[in-house]
Amino acid sequence: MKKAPKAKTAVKSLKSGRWTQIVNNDNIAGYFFILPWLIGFLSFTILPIFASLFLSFTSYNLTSSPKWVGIENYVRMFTDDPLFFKSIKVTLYYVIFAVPLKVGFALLVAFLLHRRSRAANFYRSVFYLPSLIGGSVAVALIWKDIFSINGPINSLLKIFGLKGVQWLGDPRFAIWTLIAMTVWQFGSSMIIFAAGLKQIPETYYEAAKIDGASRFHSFIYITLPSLSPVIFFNLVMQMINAFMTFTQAFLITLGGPLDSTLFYALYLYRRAFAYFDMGYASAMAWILLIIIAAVTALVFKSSQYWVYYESKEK
Amino acid sequence: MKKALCAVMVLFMILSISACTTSGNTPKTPAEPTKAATEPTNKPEKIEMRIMWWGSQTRHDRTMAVLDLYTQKNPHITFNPEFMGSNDYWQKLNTLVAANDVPDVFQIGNNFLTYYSAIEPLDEYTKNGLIDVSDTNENFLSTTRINGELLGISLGTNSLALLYDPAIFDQAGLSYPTTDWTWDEFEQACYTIKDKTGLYGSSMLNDFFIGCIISIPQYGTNETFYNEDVTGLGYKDDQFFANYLQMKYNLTKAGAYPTPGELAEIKDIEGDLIVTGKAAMTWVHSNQLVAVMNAANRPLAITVPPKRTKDGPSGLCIRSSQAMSIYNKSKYKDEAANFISFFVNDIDANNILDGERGVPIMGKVRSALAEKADDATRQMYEFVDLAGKLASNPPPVEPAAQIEIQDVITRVNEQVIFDQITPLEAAQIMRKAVEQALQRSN
Repeated sequence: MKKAPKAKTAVKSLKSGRWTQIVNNDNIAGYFFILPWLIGFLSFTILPIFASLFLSFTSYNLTSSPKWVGIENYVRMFTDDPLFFKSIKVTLYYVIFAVPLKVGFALLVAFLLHRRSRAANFYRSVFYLPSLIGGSVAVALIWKDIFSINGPINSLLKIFGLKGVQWLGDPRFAIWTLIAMTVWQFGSSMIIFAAGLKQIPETYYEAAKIDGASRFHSFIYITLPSLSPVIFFNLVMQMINAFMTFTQAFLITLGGPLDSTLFYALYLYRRAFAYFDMGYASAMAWILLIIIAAVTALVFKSSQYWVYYESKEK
Repeated sequence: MKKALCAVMVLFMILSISACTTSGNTPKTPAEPTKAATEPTNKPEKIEMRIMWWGSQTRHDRTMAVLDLYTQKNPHITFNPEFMGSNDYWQKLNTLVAANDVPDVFQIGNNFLTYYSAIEPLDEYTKNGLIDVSDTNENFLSTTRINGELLGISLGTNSLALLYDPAIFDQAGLSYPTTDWTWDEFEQACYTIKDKTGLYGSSMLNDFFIGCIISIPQYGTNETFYNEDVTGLGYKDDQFFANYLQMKYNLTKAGAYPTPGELAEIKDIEGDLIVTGKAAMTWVHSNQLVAVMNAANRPLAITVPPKRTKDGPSGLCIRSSQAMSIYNKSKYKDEAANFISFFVNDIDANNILDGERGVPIMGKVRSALAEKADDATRQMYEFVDLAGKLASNPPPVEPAAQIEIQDVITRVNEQVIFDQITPLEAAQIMRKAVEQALQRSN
């Protein structure tokens, strides 16, 4: 009789010991705090990602349950869908022109505004504005009006006696209005460049000046190499974004004219939510992932030839 | 301190989880006996019916007013309405079908086939009188019937109309279009209008409805655009569609028809080129007439579209602009049927709705509305009567791949206009793409 309670307390203390251990673990508290996000991430990101992988091997129109078709969607994409290739071509064209222009423009403006004055701060804020409102529907609609047949751009051309063109209605120009819009929203890259420029030690420029380097030379031989990691970062980020461009084409040109602005993401959207060809659209999403991964890997690979890190001396 | 905090949090978490599970379960068990107990007392159970439609703000306001009216008359039924523009509507409906969560009553277009798995056939309800169809006839009912099954009750009918500006025709010295106008006469009239007034002969031609649905039967070969079970195209000669594209090509090159860029800038029917005074003719569905005429604010006249030959078939059909259907997994099918019957038959309700969804199919409603109609509305009623007499074809069933097919047609048409392919090549490419899309979606 006397022994029993003693044994019980021993068990209890062992149990509570492990319990306190778990509760006191810092990681547990951490996980607890990120739990809401974690639940959201698992159910709204991870789950749909794997669901789309599964659906990419099915024929699924939302109204009836998915039918397993194996790799048919992928086969059809590469053998029997001219629009798929057209959309890749359009997207690559856009990425190749819009991204370097945007990054270059951002660098140029950041460089020009790289001095400590109130005016520079003011202009930097002003130039950042388009990026703040950038992705919005309102801007896209305004863009559509600006480039419409009787819009401000054509009216301006008329003042100079030039005949306006159908910016959005001509397959040669439509994509360039979208590229122009992208380049115009260079603000966020510019801010990153501005920060990067401040990191470059003033002594480099002083040394170059003493050696008689012009402003142009010091830009080419000091600014660009010192800034190359930032350029690299901006390039990769903007490239990934550009591959996924959707809003502008969706709102301004609807992919037209003649599919000249049919971006990959827009075609994917159409397959999914206009034609309800969900299986095919899922397959397209995975191909886009592979394309972006491949191009990003390529840029990363190339970086060893043109990106200089201060910590790593050659 | 940290220890205590952690303990409190863990406790809280466990509590909230267990609280969730209990609150989810407990009400069910005791509730069932109470429900059973109240039923015999004959008091109608309070019902919240879900209903969904698409449309403009005018339609939303009017429909909401009718829902309120119904709740006044049937206090035990309240509504949970969902309404939106038509673009969002189909996305939403597809999602709801996938989730087995479709509203009890929902509006549907001519795309019944796509939603066949979710629609309750209504024949049973028209037979037992829950839906009163005594005031309409088979012609109207057939607009929503497929393979002998009534899949919805039409909320309005319409037909394709040619709208023209008599003043511009006078100025060009042309006689007005008549019901036996031919496409050749139309094309010549466009050139004359361009020469004499500098305006476009015609505003946007709907390539699908005009170039395909109406044009194909006009050749008098007893063929239609889709074949009977909508698994492929129903006509053999690609020249039929090529002729239509050739006409558009000629008109565009002559400047008598707007370029694709200009057409893409037309935002809505109120911004149509006939409204802005840049074109002499345009094409509308009859339920859009009132909106266009009000927007134009000058006299416009209306007739049926041109034909291939003077004495050939019109190719016209009377369509349901939209219908109300019942979800086949709804808990309140009888109540839903009752509501639909009210919605299409009740004079007060339809005085509020005022034919905004098209010409009503019920005779008494139609005459009540025609009585108080303004000029534009009366023209719409007269036109649908006329089109009904001239109609030569049943309304086409829209396949699941409808949107993809319309995009295909728009694409080949643009390629012709931009000189990339010939009209005949376009017709052949279109045939292949449409048949593939149909096979894939079936």
